[in-house]
Amino acid sequence: MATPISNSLHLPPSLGPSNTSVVQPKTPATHGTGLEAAGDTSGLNTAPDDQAIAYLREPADYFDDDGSDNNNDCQSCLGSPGMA
Amino acid sequence: MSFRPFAEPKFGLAARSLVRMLQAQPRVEDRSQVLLKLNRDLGDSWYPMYIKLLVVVGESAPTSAQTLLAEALAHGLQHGQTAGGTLGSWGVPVQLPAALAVAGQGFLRMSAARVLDPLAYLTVWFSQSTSRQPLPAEVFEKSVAAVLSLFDSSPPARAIYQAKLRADVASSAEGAYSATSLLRLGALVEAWSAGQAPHRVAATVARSELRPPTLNSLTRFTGRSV
Repeated sequence: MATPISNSLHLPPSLGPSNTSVVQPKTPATHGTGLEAAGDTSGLNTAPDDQAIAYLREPADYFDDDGSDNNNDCQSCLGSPGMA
Repeated sequence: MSFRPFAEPKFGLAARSLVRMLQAQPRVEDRSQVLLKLNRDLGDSWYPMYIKLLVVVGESAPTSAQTLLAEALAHGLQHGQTAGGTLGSWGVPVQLPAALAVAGQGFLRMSAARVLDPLAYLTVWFSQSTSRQPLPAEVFEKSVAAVLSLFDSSPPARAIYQAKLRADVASSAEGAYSATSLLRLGALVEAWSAGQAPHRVAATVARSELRPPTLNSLTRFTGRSV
């Protein structure tokens, strides 16, 4: 029998299952400052709905067209593949 | 494999990268495939991140970038290759336990969810009970306005999307959406087709008090008996 995903991870409380977590939208102050934790994959392999809402609510993301070279796939700016 | 988002995704940078990936493809069908691959890579759970990229481009990218993305999206909509997401309904989670998903071989998923384009996804998420937490009105309004702005950059793409939504409303009157979702989606495309500004369309749809659709209202909208 497959082990439920929610039982196989030790999740920070703020990133727990959607029905128990509290919406914690990111603050604009941490965005675009270069302080983002690139490579931090402390997220989940299931989507906590409040986090998805926070991404959509986040007001401080603008199309980054400053002319600097960038050859990344867009996914690599958002996260990374993880093992289910 | 499943996608795992960073704690602080860089949507602005990702949006630019996406546009550059699209610019590198000379054919619209290939640009549409780029979107499908991105959608697959993010997965159903993180489909809202895909929508966020559309929002960022719709809100802040140059018009040329908006047009490129809108027309690639429209190509997918027109050819049944929508980079869409699913929302489980009736309390059934979209991500079924592995054993159940294998046993169900798609039947349970098919009965509980349908692939939704970005505007339909936002509308259903906002309007009816799904497997996700409810989408707040202000987030719905902001996101819808941005997606509408994106498509307003290209009249042909806008016409394709409006036609697709009309067809969805006309064909889904028998239960694919809740009555509220159906009415709201119909109101959205009606206001959008009437030339209202994106923010006004979104605000109207988000804030209006909706009553369950009547046969008359649906017939008026779809132009045929339902």
